Amino acid sequence: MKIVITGGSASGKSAYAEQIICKYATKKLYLATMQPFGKAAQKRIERHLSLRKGKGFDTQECFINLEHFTPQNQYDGILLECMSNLLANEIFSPNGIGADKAVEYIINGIVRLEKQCKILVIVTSEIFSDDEEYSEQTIKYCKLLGNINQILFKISDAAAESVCGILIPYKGENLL
Amino acid sequence: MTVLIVGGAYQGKKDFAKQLFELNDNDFADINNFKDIYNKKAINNLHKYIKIHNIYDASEFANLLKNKVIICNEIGCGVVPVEKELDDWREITGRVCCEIARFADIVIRVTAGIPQVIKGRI
Repeated sequence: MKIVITGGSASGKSAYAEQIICKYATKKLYLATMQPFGKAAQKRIERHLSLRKGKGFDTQECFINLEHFTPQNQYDGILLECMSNLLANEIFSPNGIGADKAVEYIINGIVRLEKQCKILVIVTSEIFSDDEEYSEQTIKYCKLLGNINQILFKISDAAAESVCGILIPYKGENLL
Repeated sequence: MTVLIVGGAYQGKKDFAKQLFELNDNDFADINNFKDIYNKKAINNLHKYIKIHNIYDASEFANLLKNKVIICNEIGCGVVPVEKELDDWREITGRVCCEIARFADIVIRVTAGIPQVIKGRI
């Protein structure tokens, strides 16, 4: 089973994702995709670490190549956070697969990851509502994340958005 | 009663608030005036107030806004900015809204003039 949770920055989406996975799984893996570069990233990582503390998560990192990721143990539940970072890494980092193949590559990774656990919760992000003038690269990135989110919502058993810490279900409400 | 109204820019949030809660322009705080929010029933553009007055403690600030009608843009729904100040501003604004939503009686998200009540009842 897979559940996808989206939301803007600081909308409470991580807290919901954790809450949901804790309902279903005892042996849990937190799959972190954010590379710890820079102070802002460090701060976010520390915040997430303190949120997860005492909830019994193991943590592993996967910055690219989700399709080739293997968990170190057997887990009932895997929480992948966040799709926006994974996509950025595949597009912009030197070892990434590149923009042309990123969507297919990541979705294949998700399908494979789901088979390795009972419940997969994916956190993604709403980055589509500011309409600033970005570089061509950034616009491409937004478009691809939009594509991924559409696919994720379609293939997931449940999907919801967190708004100011309130969960708005879009499908599979009974599973949330 | 505490009411939080969120949504993108130019979605009709303020008009909706005025109509539903019978507010007029004088009921809204002047966001450039730091203390005006204590005296007024309502505040529009909370995200701008947070930026202008450099608010950094989300829960402390949220607690000042009890029993008011608060309107805020959902500024966290765009690309994460590279500039640290803007990133911090989005972060604190989001956390303030989460805090208010927690104790608010009513939370409404307005999209293209259509209100969606996501907490409580109107």
